[in-house]
Amino acid sequence: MSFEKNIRSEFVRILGKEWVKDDQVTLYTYRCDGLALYTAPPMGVLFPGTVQELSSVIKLLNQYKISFVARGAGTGLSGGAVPQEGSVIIEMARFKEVHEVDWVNRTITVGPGVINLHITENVHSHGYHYAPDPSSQKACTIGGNVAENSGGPHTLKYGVTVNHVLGIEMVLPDGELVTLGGKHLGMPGPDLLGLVTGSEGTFGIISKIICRLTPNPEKAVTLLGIYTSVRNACESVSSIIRHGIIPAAMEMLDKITISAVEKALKPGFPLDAEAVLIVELDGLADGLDAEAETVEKLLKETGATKVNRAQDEAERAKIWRARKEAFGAIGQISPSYYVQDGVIPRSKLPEVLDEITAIGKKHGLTVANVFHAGDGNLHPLILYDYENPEEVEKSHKIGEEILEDLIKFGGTLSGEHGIGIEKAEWMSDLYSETSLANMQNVRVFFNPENLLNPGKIFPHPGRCAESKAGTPPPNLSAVNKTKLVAAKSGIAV
Amino acid sequence: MSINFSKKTVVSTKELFRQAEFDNILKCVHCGLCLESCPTYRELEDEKDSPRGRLYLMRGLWEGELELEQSVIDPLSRCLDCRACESACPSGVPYGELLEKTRGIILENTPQSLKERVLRNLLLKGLFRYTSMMIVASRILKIYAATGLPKLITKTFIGKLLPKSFVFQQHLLPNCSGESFKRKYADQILSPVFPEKTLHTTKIKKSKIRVGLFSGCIMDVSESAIHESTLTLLRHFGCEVVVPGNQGCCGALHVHSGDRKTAREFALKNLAAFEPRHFDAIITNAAGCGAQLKEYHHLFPDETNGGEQDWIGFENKVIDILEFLSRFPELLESLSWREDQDIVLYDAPCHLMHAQKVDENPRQLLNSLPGVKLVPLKESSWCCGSAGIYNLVQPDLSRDVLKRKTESVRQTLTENPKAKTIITGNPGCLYQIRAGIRSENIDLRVLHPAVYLVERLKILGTSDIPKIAI
Repeated sequence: MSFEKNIRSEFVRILGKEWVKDDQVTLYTYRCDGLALYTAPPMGVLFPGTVQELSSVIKLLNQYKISFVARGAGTGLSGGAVPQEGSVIIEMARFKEVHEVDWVNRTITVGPGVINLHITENVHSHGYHYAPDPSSQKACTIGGNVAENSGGPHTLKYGVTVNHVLGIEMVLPDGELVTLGGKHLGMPGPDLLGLVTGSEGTFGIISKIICRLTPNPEKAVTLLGIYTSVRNACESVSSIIRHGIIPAAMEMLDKITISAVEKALKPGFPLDAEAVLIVELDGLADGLDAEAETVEKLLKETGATKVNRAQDEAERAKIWRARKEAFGAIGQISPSYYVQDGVIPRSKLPEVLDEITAIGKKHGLTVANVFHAGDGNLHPLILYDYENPEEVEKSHKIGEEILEDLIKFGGTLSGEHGIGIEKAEWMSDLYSETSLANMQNVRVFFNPENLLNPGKIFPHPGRCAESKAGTPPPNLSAVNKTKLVAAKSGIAV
Repeated sequence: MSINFSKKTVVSTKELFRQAEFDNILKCVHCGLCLESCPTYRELEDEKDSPRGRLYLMRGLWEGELELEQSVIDPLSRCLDCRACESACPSGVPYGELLEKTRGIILENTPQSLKERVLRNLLLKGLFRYTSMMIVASRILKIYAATGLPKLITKTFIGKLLPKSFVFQQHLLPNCSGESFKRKYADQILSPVFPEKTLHTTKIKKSKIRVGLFSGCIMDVSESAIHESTLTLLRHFGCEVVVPGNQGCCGALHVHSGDRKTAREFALKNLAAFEPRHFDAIITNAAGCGAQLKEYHHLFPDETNGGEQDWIGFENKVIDILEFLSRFPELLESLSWREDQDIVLYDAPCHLMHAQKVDENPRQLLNSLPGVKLVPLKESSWCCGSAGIYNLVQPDLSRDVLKRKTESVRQTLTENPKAKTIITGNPGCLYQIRAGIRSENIDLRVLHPAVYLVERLKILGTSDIPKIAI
């Protein structure tokens, strides 16, 4: 499927030949994002370079009633940028401009195609950084971060994307340009900016973002607790929080993950440990060492056999690279894996982790764990061989059972990866029909004809909201819950 | 998509890939952490021109979803093979190996453009194979340079009348010596300069450390200061040095462009020349050659037709000159170095940093010299766009990538205005960066680290100080 000739020439008129692509190879490479399970080729890919171009192509798409979806670096893990029903992809990579750094208001205004890490690189020498640090930060774009309300290890203390975005400029699905928020704090009326953040690209396409800058901590101390049991490591987490200490980050890696990162990145984690817990403390230099001592004592009290402290910046960077690239490192020990993302109340960590291990055992597959322990945000990694149909079948059963378990323990479906297409069907397990209908009513307000990123977040068939607004839900390609792991692709992330 | 039955394609694309030991493609989990490390992705902003996109295309070929059509081949041809994505990849995908195998399959099973065929047959298959022809070519270019034509073209209005790429090629021209380095020293045993400092092996039966020096193809007949300086350094560091006369081109350019057959031939020739038993180390001073010599076994998947040779034994002896020297810090200290202050910029060659995974040692060594402060370029790990003969086959994209490099040179120079020199340890990068800064009139010398090290030596033990061409 490509553009119809007359539509194509209109796009070319707006963007230029170079930036309108609908050849088969382009469509092939854009058929999935960081979640390679569900592939669906777009009708074409448009590369606008300015907000005027963006608005013009959206108006045109709206005129022809062609659905469309924005995409940044395509690192999302829930299929948020996978075009359903042959939508057109609007690639935002060219919006790379840093518009303004405002030291007085402590903001930086950037295009949505700017890489998360580059924001920090722009301001770091002045003593600032952009706080949310998703593990893919060296590749993912800030536009995608806002759409998914991304988290990251350091959000335990600093908060997620919604706490660090002060304003956005956005093009609505009919091409209208709107501004939400600004350099100031607080907005009278309902928090529309908060609504848009995390709407997974279904409310509008962001063209400019005002991010809050956070002063760099005077000092950071990174501790590495080593454990002979995962349970003990979980107890350390509870113990630290119970003592009123909020570390900048608390991250856990279990034995299987340790073996993978040691193979790939060699951070120097002990291979015989059952778990390691990374605890980072930061803030004013005064008192930080005392706090670190307290934490070290707490870790040991709750069963850490050893606590190492990163001696310099290089050592600290090594530990963090191992944590942030742990998912990819799994590629070293397993041909495929399927990562789940869910949140549970912190207090339930030990029980839930035991259950996850038991679920894996029951089905005869390994489940590795690497996660934001401080937030109770779990990332069980189910390891399987994509060429073995039995294992594929088992891996999706395990995924399902884990999700059921998370809900049972008072948790929820996603901590930070989003619902996308991956978990849309699960939403009805978590919310009542009324809640879902209300949420979709909000979407209809921004996106009345469901042209923008259809087939995401809500279970198929779209229940009532679209019908209420006069637009029947389009026949979406169904995401079958039992096909959580597609046999063919096998590039499960 | 239809099957392309050109040339001798009877086996399906899928089958061709299955035969090529391609299972490592499964290591890619499509996470995208490689994207920002890729120079061509940063230029073109298109998924199919990213490492992840290219791997996805290779996987499509391997799975039989795609066929070897030009539209699939083009993005794969646009890859620099700089392998920065390998350093960024958490899953350990051997990108370079997969790409090179793919290019091998492409070359053997699809028709080539006239330009490619001419380049391949004249340069890769012809010229680089024969030392005597390299010498002739070197003499011709030496005479050409002596006529002053290149300067006339680059410095006067004449350049404005000629195609841009032709003018740029004038900047690229190496300093040709008109003679072969390996023939000059062929098979002599060149002894250490200070006999009292002779290095010995730590084995029970102590013997002198003898190293073989790899001279390559273009480097063998050009930029003679680099080889002469490498030789001088090794002899000052107490090594016995042999330059085998029957060695040849490493074959990297061939592998990068898919000609694995010629590369195999060269590999066997070099194995015979550098019989591993006779040498404690095989020294290279070209990052690209070093990376290739260390990966010869990729070319021989079977136990036959050369695959039965002890490639690992050979590869384990291959080492870059700077990494080798950095193993002997006490010797470095015992030599007498100049002490005046100097700030030098450093560019990490991709095939040293990303392919050989050697980065800290050379920088530490240079930084440990008295008076020397090494400043890595902003984006030092970034490709310069030279990439073998990439700058000849993809001139436009290569120039875009180079532009970024010259921009980072300019920025780093602004922050370190006292710097007079930039160092890079690969001839291709040296030519390319030199061409870039010449065409933008940046006032810097581009030197190989070996040449710079010799320049910093205060007392040379022999009278034959190599001439330094800048």
